[in-house]
Amino acid sequence: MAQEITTPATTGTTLVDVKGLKVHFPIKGGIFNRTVANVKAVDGVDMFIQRGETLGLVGESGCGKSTTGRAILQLVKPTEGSVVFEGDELTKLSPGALRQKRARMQMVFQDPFGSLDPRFSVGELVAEPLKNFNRGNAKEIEEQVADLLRVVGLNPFFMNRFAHEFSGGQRQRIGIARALALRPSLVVADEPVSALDVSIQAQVLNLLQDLQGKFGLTYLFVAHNLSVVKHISDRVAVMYLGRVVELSKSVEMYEMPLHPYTQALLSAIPVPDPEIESKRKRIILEGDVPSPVNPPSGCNFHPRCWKAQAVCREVIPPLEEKQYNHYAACHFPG
Amino acid sequence: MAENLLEVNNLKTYFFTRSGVVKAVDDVSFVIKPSQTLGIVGESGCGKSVTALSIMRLIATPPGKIVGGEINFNGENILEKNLDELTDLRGSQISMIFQDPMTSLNPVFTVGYQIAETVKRHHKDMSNDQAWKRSVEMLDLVRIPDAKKRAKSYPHEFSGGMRQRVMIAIALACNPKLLVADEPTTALDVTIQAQVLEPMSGLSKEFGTAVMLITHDLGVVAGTCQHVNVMYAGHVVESAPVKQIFATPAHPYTVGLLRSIPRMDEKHGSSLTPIGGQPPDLSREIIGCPYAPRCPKVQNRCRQERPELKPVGRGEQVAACFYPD
Amino acid sequence: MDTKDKNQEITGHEYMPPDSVVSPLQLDPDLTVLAENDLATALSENELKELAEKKEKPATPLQDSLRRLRRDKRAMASVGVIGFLVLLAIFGPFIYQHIGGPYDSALNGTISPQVYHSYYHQELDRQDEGPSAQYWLGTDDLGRDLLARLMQGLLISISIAVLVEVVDITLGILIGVLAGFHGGWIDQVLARFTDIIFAFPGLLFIILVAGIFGAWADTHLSGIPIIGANGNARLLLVSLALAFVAWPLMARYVRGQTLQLKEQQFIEAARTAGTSDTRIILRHIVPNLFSIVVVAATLARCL
Ligand SMILES: Nc1ncnc2c1ncn2[C@@H]1O[C@H](COP(=O)(O)OP(=O)(O)OP(=O)(O)O)[C@@H](O)[C@H]1O
Ligand SMILES: Nc1ncnc2c1ncn2[C@@H]1O[C@H](COP(=O)(O)OP(=O)(O)OP(=O)(O)O)[C@@H](O)[C@H]1O
Ligand code: SF4
Ligand code: SF4
Ligand SMILES: [Mg+2]
Ligand SMILES: [Mg+2]
Repeated sequence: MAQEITTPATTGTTLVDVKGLKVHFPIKGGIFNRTVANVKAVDGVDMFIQRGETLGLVGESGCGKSTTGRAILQLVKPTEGSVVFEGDELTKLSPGALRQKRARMQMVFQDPFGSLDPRFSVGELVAEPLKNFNRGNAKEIEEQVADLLRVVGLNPFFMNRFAHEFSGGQRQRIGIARALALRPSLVVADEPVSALDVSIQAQVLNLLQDLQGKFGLTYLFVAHNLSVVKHISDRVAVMYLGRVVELSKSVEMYEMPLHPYTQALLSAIPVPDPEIESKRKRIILEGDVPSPVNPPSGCNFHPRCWKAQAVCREVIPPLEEKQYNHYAACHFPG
Repeated sequence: MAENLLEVNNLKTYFFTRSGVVKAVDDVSFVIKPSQTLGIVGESGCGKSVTALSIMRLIATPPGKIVGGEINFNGENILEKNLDELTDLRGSQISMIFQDPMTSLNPVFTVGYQIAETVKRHHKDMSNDQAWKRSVEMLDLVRIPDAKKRAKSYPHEFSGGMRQRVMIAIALACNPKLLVADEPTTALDVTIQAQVLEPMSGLSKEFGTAVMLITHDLGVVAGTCQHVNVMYAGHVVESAPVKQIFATPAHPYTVGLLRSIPRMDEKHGSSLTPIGGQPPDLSREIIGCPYAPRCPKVQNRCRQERPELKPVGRGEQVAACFYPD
Repeated sequence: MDTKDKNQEITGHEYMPPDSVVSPLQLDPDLTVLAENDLATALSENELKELAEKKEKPATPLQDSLRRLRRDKRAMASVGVIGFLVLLAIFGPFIYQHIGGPYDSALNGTISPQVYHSYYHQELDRQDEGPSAQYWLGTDDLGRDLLARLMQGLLISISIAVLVEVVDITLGILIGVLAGFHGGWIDQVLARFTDIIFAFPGLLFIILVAGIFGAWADTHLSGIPIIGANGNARLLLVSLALAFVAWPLMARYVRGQTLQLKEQQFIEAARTAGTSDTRIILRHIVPNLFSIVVVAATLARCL
């Protein structure tokens, strides 16, 4: 499906190339604990991430954003498909080789409370990846930890304190310091600011942007808040029910969405400006996101799509380049 | 009938905890007019929910206690009512919807039954059939497709957005004069949020219900509210008609809040101006303006006296700041 | 596509040279400056000062709970009682046997307190007595010192409890964690085994073991120096039988908690940081089992 996605040869290099990625979680049931059905959390995702860019991944709750991010990092085993990172096919690496590769790809987690072990001090938390990869003796590691804490705007003085003594925003900084410790090239940020207050959100977003420049990072930025994604991303991929339905430069996506779902999604976002709000017309989608256990046939958006035709029920629309560097998976885009 | 449906005067709700007295709501005053939608915004922990719960008299005591002020609903002080009067008031005159639509419905009864129950609690003379009819009608109003059939479904057969709409149906079933909605869409996705907000503002117009909408999403405020209270550290720091809040914010905190959110309509590559620091710990004594440690315009005076809400010379707009914009 | 300048030097599939990966962070000077400025935003001046004044080392979660325990008067009282009983059991008999003068027994001649204050010595003419200067708590119906017997009983109870607890916790954690973390056949075996144990009356099992193997243990194990004679071998046997019926429950608690912990984000975060499974178990899972193990260890005694 959609094999025609290739990196445009003229521009930057591809850091991550995802093709036909599927992650199905079995639902066990019955007396013999057999697989009775599959949650098709990710069901054929194609995308690529270019070195140095920020690719935003948006979509509604349960559409498989986190699972895609985790499958790229091989934190869940993909059922099918390939993930090429820095030239290596990750799905075929041995566990040992994969562990080595982890130094190059890191993750920032959504939950600033659950993602830090409550029994570790801040210093230990940030040192953990460094120790795992033997990056120096105890003293060198401590120096690196101090540097990292400074980089994310925390005082190294707090190295001996525990995560529970910090606020959400500060904890998220600790998580970022940890992710940066090994100097990765790819950072998957799974809703890094969703749990934070608006005023703190901006602090963390700015920090992430600063660090990207300084460390030459590539981000896969997962979020459900489209305003945040638009702010931070160079390109945006929109997911619906386990598939990428649209992929383009973020400015283009917001100005001229091609996929009906993207159009509805964009129109639903409240804008903090009463003038604009009073004039805006909302596309209110009927119904809810269908269950990923039993996704609709053909284009899985068809039960909610106002443009749906007979063909949409039967043929899965491939993710194609509809306009220059603007991909959409729809039979009737525009 | 009074001109103001709800008048909150100098409300103080404190929590007496082991680590000190948490002044969750400290000297808060505001009014809601009939059929007005008032938005309350502010950071987590600034006292939005406690304000709402105080109006409902649902503060858990201990550790909480309303230690001062008055809440006049239709000219009567809610704080002086006894339990029976309160029960009467809740649901029929004032009703509330909570953030979590999953836990607010009883999983073992059909949604139709749950709406009918509420109706019958306040209209004792109503027959079962009438009540059931009313619940189907309400489900229809909140745009549940095929309401007649869906009334017989159980909550778990509904999605989050539908459940929240059922909650709205329950809340509005007795035609209350005031609907208190505490972050009704925070747990929902944007497309579902639109499905919930649309009937809510539509119905409040239709029935003349006043709404107190608590949220931290300024976009939602812009789209649904007529008047906005901005809260910070247990105080209302600014109160103004929605247009003025966004066009000419007066309090530095409101200004900071507006500058720190990414906007859909912004130019690409523009950078955010975050508010530095963090909200204060409410269990400690705050001297002077609570926003002073984070305020870019802070002066010596701000650290010594607490500013009161004062008009800033633009109609109804008031702000608690010595040096408003 | 707007590729940023900073990546221009990288072409094709050539990636960041490995040594820049291993070398410690080279920080831009101006980056650190940024951080210093940013610091002010992360924590206000006052908070910094305040924290700096608190010179004391921050408390670990364990120290934290210990501190809370110390403040709880009832808990401290209980700790005091338990401590007293343990001391009594260990040192009590020794001290007691040195208290009191020689006693002219009608049946046994003149005997020292070492004899009449031992838990097995009988003075058949002094049955069922009340407390006296010689027998502080009186005697039983066979004329034995009640206080001495009480202390001995205490020692036995405590040593059984400790022994059972040690075996129970070790086995329970080991098997529970493995079953919870890896699932698969260990989990299946554990599940079946606990089912069997739960279906089988534990007390009956212990009585059976003591009855069937007791004599055998007496003859075969009492030769081992630390165990010695005096029925200690039987005690050991009973303790082991107790532990044997107790650990599956512990393992189940631990397994459940491990399953929950495994889903926590910090475990996934550790994995992303390249932490091996063994280290994840030892450093992240086992320490976080502490609370459930404490609770389960006290509950399991209800047998
Ligand atoms: N370990 C798992 N076992 C079974 N189903 C799972 C598992 N993890 C995720 N799922 C299911 O896969 C689907 C996609 O989940 P995922 O967490 O990727 O969504 P998401 O887009 O990140 O949503 P959110 O915005 O709520 O985080 C959901 O329906 C979820 O229930
Ligand atoms: N039961 C309680 N005991 C002690 N303190 C409480 C209690 N309930 C609330 N508080 C405190 O009151 C303050 C205000 O809480 P409130 O729930 O009103 O915040 P909020 O503005 O609704 O925040 P959020 O956006 O997170 O819902 C908080 O600092 C909170 O810690
Ligand atoms: S393929 Fe058809 S159903 Fe799917 S989005 Fe396009 S028009 Fe709608
Ligand atoms: S009173 Fe002073 S510190 Fe408070 S918001 Fe106004 S200018 Fe800032
Ligand atoms: Mg997610
Ligand atoms: Mg709240």
